[in-house]
Amino acid sequence: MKLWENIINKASLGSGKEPLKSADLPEIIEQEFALSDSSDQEEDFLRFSSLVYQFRQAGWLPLNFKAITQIESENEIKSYCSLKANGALRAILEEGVIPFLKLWLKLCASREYCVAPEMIPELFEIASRRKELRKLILNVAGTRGEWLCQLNPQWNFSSPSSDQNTIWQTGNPEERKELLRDLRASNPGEALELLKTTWATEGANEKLTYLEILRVNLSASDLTWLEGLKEKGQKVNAYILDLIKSFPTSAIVQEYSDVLKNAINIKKGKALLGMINKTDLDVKENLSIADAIFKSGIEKLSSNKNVSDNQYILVQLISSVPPSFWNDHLQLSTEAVIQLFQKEKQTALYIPALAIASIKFKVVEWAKCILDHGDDAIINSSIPLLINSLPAKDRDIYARKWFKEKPREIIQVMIEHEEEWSVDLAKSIIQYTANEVYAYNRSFYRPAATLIPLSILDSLDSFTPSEEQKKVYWKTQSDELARLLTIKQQTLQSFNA
Amino acid sequence: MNFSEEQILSMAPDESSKKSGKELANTSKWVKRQLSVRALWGECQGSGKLPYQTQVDLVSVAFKCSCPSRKFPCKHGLGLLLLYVRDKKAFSSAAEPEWVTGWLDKRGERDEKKAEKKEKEKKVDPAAQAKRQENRLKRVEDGMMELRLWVKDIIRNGLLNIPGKDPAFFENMAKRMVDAQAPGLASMIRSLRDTNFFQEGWQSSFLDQLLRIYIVLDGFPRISDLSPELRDELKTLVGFAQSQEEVKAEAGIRDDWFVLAKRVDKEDNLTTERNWLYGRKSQRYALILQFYVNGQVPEVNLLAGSCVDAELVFFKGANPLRALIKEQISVTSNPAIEGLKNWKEISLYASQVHTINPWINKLPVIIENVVPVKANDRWILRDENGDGVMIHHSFQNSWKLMAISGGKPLRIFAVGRENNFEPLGAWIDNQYKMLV
Repeated sequence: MKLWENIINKASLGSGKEPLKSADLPEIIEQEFALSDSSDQEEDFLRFSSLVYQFRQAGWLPLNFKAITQIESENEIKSYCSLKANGALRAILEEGVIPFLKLWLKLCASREYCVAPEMIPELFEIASRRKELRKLILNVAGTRGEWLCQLNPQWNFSSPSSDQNTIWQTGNPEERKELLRDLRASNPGEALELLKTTWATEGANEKLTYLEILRVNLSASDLTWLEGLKEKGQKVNAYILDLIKSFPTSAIVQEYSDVLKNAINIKKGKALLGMINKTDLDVKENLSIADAIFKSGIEKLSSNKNVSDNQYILVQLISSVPPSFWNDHLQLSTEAVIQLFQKEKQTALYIPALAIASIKFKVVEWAKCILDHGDDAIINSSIPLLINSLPAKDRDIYARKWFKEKPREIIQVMIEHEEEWSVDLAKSIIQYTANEVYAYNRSFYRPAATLIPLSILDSLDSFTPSEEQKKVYWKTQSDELARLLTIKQQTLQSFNA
Repeated sequence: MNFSEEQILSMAPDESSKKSGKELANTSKWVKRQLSVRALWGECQGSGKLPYQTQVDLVSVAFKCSCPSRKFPCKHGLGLLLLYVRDKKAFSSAAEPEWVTGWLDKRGERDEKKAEKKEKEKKVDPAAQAKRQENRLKRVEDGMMELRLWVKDIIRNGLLNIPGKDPAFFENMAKRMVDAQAPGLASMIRSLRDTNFFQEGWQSSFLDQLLRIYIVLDGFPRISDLSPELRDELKTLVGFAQSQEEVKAEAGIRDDWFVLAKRVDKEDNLTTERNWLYGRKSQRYALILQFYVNGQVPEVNLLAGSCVDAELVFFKGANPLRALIKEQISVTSNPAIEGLKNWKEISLYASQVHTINPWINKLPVIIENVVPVKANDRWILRDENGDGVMIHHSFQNSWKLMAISGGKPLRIFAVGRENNFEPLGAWIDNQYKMLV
């Protein structure tokens, strides 16, 4: 309304400088103004502009937006999640517990539901900050989510901006890394082929990053390529060698096996005046070893005064060959090999190296056997690592078995995985953390709550620290855990109903 | 009664109460959980020897608990009601124990006693009262003369100087109006002070408010020439308060009142609660205002998105919106509501309202079939004819509204004026979603 703009302009400058004139008013008021015989400019201004104000208010009309176009969202194909599930999601977002959000999103996607539309913007805001949640969120955002992604450029993460090759050739380091990581997870061979196309032109730091990504889903085709690489950079070469060494069939691992075949063998003898047979390990520590072995990363000098240089070389070699080598070489079962190594002090020092090998080559049977039959040295050195290398079910069993010996380390291992703990393990952990409540506070329980089974909720009051001064703090902690478990319960129930 | 968790949590006095309430929404925390038609109650084991007795009035949503907390509602009340909403089966039907019956009956008696007390207070000397009124009128008129000069000074010197003024420029005049026993004018001046001078076009809203003040100043000396409704409106604007008892003594409108929105603003120690209601049968909007300081209990608890069968009585005025709940009978199921068809109808309705009452600032409206649209970084609410208004720049949830709509037309509840409205709620598949 131009008339009003005029009045605003005059009011801004002040009636002292710009008095109101009849031409500034609508026709209908103009005549009244002309008749006014007041000499008070301010009074005139206020009287007549208040008339225009009312004139404007009583006669406003909506604006015309016919020309603006906007497409509608397609109808939703999936059903919306229940009101209860929506309530649980709201509670999770209010609490800001990301592990619960992951759980909720996975459950929603697995039941083929989509989230209520009003929740999508909040979820997309989270997705724009946390890349790891994008796929999960897009899975439940439905067609409404796709539509919103097209409208808001900041949320346009549903459709890739360009094809793989373009991203790989022209994308920024972060985009390239993400592309290679995703491809390696879904199609390892294709990821390798993509990397090969630009490998020669990549810088040392990029090469290290991409080699790290290749560590996932390693296969024989990777080995051929890795063994053929000739790099100038020391760090890159060392990393390549490390990757190659993780293949039991690689030439270097074969060379290590050959050295060990000569160095450690079974020695049969008699004991108790020849009445019984005796089997020992014969370790030839003073073997001459080819230079190529040392060039592959095996160090010559020991930094431990209790371990000789030759023993240290053997320790490194044992930890670099698959433990099944010993079953074949000594023709003994895993348990028998371990017992044989543990028989003498001189050979027992190699047991930790066997543990490292079983972890490195992911040989579950060996890891379990070492945990079952290993000696104290093993307990002190490798328990958390061995437990960490086990599949979920076994991990829980062994975590329970060794919890008393290494509680902190085992908690550290168990919190890193996504599988729910058994009730017994959860009880042990909660009781321990209740006693150590200053160390295991809110930041521990927020992620841990997703791993604790719901049945703990009923017995939560039974856990209490032994020291009186810790009880009040634990009560707060316990209440928070109860609230978190209730959210978990709500989430699970809402999708199971 | 079908409350959502969101509605219940909106009653929590602070974040920690919300959290604690959620912790207590668990059957294991409650020794006893029972309900009757008008209430639910339970016993929660706290740190004391005896469990806390918690009760919730389901008819007019009120809480009572034997815990020592000064917060209202306390975590036990919130937890019990949350638990009820989550799992109704966790509550067994039972006869109300004495501590519940006693409280519910007392609540009814209290209102009656209040009315009796006021009745006694009413007996005043009419001559003294007339003298007091005369004195007050004189003070108000003197104050108004000063205010008129102040307004004229602003107009003479120009609005461009205003953002550089010290806040005392406004506050001194507001205080002067308080001294002159015109608190309504003081509050209008404080609205001027609160103008966002960094917002583009602030001059227009500032001048609007200045002119509203001027219309009061210009109209008051001629108050006897005005209609009784405008007379009441003008007196209220100056600050002649209508007592709640007098208002409640008038005939009310019984209707199914749908609670469209609840806005809570806290400033210093004072909480201001604005509840927008819409009567299904009367098709009237009502604004229930509540003011309370920290630790004080609001008289009524209204949950946005719920519907109450209640008798409302409006304050006197021209097209009044402000009302009081005279009697709340029960909570009912959400009614079918129909709004005006398009923005042109809203414009016509606004014209009618402004003809009756020139001071009305923001209008509540329900409008059918509007689509939120984003164009040139501005959000628009467009109707089926292609006409529209801007969404107020302070509205933060435009993407939420967009997500709810999916580009399809919605029925919306909004508050605003001319070409600027703020959507506060929207219906989707006959379900009401709050937007703030």
